[in-house]
Amino acid sequence: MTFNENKAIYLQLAERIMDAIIADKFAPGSRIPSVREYAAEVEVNPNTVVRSYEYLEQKEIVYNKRGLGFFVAESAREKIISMRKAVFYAEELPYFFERIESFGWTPTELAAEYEQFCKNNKLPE
Amino acid sequence: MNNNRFSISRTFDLFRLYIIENRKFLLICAAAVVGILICVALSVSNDLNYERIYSHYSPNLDPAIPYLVPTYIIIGYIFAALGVSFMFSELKSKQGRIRTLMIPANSSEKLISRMFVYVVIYTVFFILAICIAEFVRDIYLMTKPTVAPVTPLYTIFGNKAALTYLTNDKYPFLLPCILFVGAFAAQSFFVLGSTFWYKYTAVKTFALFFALFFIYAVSVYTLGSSLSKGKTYTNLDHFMSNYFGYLFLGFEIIVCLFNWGMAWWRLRETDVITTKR
Amino acid sequence: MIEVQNISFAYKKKTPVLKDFSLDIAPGGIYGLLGRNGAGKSTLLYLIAGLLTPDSGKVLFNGIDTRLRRPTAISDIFIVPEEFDLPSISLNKYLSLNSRFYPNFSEEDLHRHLDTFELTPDLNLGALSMGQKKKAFMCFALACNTPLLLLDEPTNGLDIPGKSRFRKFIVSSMNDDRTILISTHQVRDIDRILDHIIITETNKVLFDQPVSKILSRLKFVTTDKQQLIENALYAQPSVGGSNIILPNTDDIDTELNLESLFEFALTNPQALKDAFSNTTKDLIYE
Repeated sequence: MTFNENKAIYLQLAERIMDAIIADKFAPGSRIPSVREYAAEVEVNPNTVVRSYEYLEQKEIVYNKRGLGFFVAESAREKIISMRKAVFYAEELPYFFERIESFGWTPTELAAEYEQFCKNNKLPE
Repeated sequence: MNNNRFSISRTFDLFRLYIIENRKFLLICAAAVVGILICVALSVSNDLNYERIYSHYSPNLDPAIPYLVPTYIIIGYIFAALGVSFMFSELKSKQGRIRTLMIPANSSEKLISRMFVYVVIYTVFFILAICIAEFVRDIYLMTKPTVAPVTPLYTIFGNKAALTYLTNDKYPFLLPCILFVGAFAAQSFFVLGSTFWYKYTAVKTFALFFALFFIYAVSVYTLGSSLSKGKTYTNLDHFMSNYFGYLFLGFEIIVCLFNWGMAWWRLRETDVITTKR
Repeated sequence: MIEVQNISFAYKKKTPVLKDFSLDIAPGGIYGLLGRNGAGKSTLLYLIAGLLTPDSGKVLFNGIDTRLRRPTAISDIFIVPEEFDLPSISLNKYLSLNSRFYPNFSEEDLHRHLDTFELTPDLNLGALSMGQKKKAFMCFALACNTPLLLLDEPTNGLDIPGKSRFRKFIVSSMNDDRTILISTHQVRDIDRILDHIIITETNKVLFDQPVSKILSRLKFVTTDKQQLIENALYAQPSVGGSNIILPNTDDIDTELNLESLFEFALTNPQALKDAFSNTTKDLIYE
């Protein structure tokens, strides 16, 4: 990350909806709020919401049923996770590794830390 | 309903709007008119000696009539002018102007809806108010011993003595017409004034038209008091027989129409910001 | 919908408020008219509504000159001034008297709007505080469903929850046939709901662009990197470094910082204008 880029609102809204999908607030196949409803909820111009929904549609996270609204795609969750993984790999991970290297840690030390973290949080190894 | 031509239903809606929003003011004015007329009626009756018959005039004539009729007429003129001076009082504030100018209606509809209050309704009301004042006067005089006849003005059409006294043989309706239309003609100056000056309209209009008004007041008084002298005022016959009476009536109507027309034009030209350059 | 054609207007000969100004307002948008206090915003609103006569030029609403104040045109325009008085009657009575002038008035919409602001139809309009008066009148204004709605400083007098409700209320009333023009100096209250920004200063209109174009030409960034700050088109110190404006060279949109844009327009209007001249974008792709 080079500088604090103020992400465009339509992207911020898309992230917000994706968070809701991951958190199961919108189940696959269910309808997300209409453009106007959502615009009123977040207090943003409806055209921005349209752009946001079009972005999600392009990423195949939602689809549009003419006259009925926007619905969560069946594979939305997987798509979101893979998208975020890709962003993480491309942007956050290199930055993280650079910092690790600056502390002088080795890969083995890093793996050990991660194992400890998994044990503490009772995650599968 | 939504077109640009003059619409009676829109005018009526504007009329309702005006009446309800200004109900307090209108009620106070109405009460003032009735109150003043009653005071006049009672004080004139009180001052006169009903215990003897007037020797000048017909013995069947109520002695108050020669005084009351001109006074009522002048009060009618005064309140007609005063009332209409408040017709556009809401235009004195910027907010009032924004509100009135933005109501979806023609300027003519806005003008006529208000004028209806001060021309038509006022006239009917004023006549009723005279009847009320006369009724009170009648009741009041019943409490005093009277020898002279007491004829409240609402019985005037059944009272031959009063009628022959007040009207002219040749042109019985001309003079009352002139005085009646004259009230609207005088008032029309104040209608025009109310589209120019939003504060103290009555005073400003009066000052500007003082000369005209002075002549008018003198004419009204002369004509009004000529009624009090009845048929014996021979100059009046001369005045009316040369068609001068009809000309004068025509002139009054033209004055009304001209002033109302100017008021309509002024209203159309009004902008929300009145101070420029 | 609205064509402002080369209007000029001056209160006094020496200080023109608008000079040969033109503007097109299309249906289906929320326009923001921004400027400091006394910058002529209200004047422009009044000219659009036909409340003032321009010295030259004219304003057309769907082809009709608004200054003629034809009922068919005015019944499609509603203006909510900054300050206004309401008669001392109940809201119900007010509706029965006033709604007849607006053919598209919807009682259902009115009740929906009243609910948003938590008001009831039987309140006495004379007894309201300024904030409540504004809310009640705006409910009525929106319920009249006029294609054009002009709001002059609508968030003045509203508390924070009121401002939030105001935004929701405006946004949920939008449709393709309607345009809302909001004039304000409280830039932060409405920055996210606008489609189009117009910035005025005392004598003229400094800026007039749709938000989508603004975001495609300019980047709004918060950074503490000195090099960027020095080369920025505009910079303003803030928490986390400075809020700066850079040309958008990589076609990635950022979030509009309306305060920065506004200050940029006021302090360096020429630079802002240059950023939108057509040649700049072409050069980048050359």
